[in-house]
Amino acid sequence: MLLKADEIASRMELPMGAAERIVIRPQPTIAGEKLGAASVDLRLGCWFGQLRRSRMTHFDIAPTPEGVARDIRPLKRHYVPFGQKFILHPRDFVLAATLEWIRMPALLAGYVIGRSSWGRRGLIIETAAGVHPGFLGCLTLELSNVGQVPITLSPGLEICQLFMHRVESKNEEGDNSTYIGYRRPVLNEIRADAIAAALAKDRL
Amino acid sequence: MPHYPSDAEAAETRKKLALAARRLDAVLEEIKRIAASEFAYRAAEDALDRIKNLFEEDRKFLGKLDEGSDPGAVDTLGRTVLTHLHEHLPLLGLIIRSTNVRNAFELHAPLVRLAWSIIGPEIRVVLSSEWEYSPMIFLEAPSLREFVFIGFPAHESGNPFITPLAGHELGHALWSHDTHGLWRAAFEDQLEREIIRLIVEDSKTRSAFESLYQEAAGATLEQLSEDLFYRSTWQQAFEWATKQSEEYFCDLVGIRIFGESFLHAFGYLLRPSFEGERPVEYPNNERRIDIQVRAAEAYGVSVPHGYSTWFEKMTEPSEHETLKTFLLGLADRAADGLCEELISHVGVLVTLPNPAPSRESPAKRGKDVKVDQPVQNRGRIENEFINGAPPEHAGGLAPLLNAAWNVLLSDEPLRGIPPERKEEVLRELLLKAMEVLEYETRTASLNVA
Repeated sequence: MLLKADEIASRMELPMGAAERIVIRPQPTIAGEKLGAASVDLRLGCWFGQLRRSRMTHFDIAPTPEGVARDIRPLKRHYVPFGQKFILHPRDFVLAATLEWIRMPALLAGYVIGRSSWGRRGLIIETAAGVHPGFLGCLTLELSNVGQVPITLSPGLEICQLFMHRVESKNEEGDNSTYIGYRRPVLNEIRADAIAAALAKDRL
Repeated sequence: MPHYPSDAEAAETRKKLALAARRLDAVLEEIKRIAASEFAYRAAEDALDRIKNLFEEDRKFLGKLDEGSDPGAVDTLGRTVLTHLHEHLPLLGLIIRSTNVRNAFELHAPLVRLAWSIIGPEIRVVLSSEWEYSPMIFLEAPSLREFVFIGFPAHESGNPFITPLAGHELGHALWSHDTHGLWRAAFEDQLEREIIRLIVEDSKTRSAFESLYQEAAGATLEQLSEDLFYRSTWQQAFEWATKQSEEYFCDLVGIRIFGESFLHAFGYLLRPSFEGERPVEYPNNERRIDIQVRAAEAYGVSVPHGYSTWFEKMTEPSEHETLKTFLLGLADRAADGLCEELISHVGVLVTLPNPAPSRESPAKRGKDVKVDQPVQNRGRIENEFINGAPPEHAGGLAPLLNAAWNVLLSDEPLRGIPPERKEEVLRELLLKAMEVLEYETRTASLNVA
């Protein structure tokens, strides 16, 4: 069941440490017409990351039994403080992070979608990324300009929406993956996949 | 009278001018390359621009000289160019490193606002990293009076826990700017009087002085104060005492601003001690730590348990170096004699506004300004860190840093985070909290829910 914004707002007011408490910092504005929505708006943060094209021949995402560890080397980071802009050129792809640091309770999950107002101008923000129960940190966004004109991105801009819903489970353990707890965009690991690796092994 | 050089003189002048031109063109070319970097903050770009203007002025002046110019003027310009290079090359290095993404960029805005509040709204701060471990660097240049350049050790420049040591570096800027009148001159005057008093009134000092300076035996207070020859006997001690007092002052500023977190950061980067002989410009560790502890008590700041035992005394110069030992002893005693006054002076001088000021409306300074207690809201802020939330409404860098250090040093885990990732995630939370601080400052006037 989706949480309406007023429910999200009231969960943000619960005592710190309460199991149901949602943490979003800086706190989003949930007032007026936004109270009726079923999501909260999140803003663009100051960190960006682009793949180092001049150094890389390709990404090998073929499955391996060992997986591929999180690696920051392919990522060239940029810090764009408040008051400055980042220009996203047509066909460019950049990782960004939300300004907001989020802590999801153990029995809530979420997903992020871009704002249609930006999508209609060619800025594709996220591909319905899931946010796992217990997630902690800033969300990594995948921004792509599929339009024909450059787009100016300003940190602090409302860029996406976070929908949240309850999770039915007796297990109250949260996300314990290694890529929680970061404030910058993360190029996360590719998990080991023995089955896919076995399937990809021989060409008959 | 016009200067008519011989052919040989003209050839020599041509060579000197060409040399100076090549040097200037090379540095201007390098500045152009640096200017193409991605600067996060304007102060670094503006500083670069100022340095460029300085060398362009030198280049313009050079253009007015030719082989018929007075050789003296040509040599003067050559010396000026070398001096400018010597003064500004380290700054160019620091400016380029300020663009490196290893730096804790989120710290910049709150630290700049802090600098405005304690030094003045004219101050420009360039935060960067440095490949020298002293452990932090403070640079300034006569041509860039309003700029403060602070270099964190490169491998730690993304570590927000060492932020409090920037308070020591801001202390250097405060000492150097002396925006509050003539207090520095008064302190220097006091150091001078104390050194002379020790020579005249302390019998042991007097006899050591007379055995080292037999020609100055029987010198009176007036002679030691006014006669250039006699003054030269203790001048070195005075210079060391002044430098030591500045270092004491800077520690006190750091403690005053950042409270206990300054002591933790100081211990983290400097304990137990460097090896070798103590630098004469610094008090030896046991005296330095003693003054830090006395200041902490005076400012109501908690001292970490066992703090005084964290540090080792550095080696004093050999007793065979009698002159150096004598002068350093004088310097140490004079600087130590000033400490109580420095402690109370910093207590009045450094007051922090709450909330953070903007450049357009800097905080008032003076006794009537409320001091932002570094321990303010500590319990709530610690609880927020422990629960994985970047604290909001912290009111300043100091409350955040003190709470974060406390959480770091406690056995309390961060909720949902494995113990081995505690420090890493806490650093992320602390940097995010600094950004939240800036967000709150920028949006404060909007009065949004």
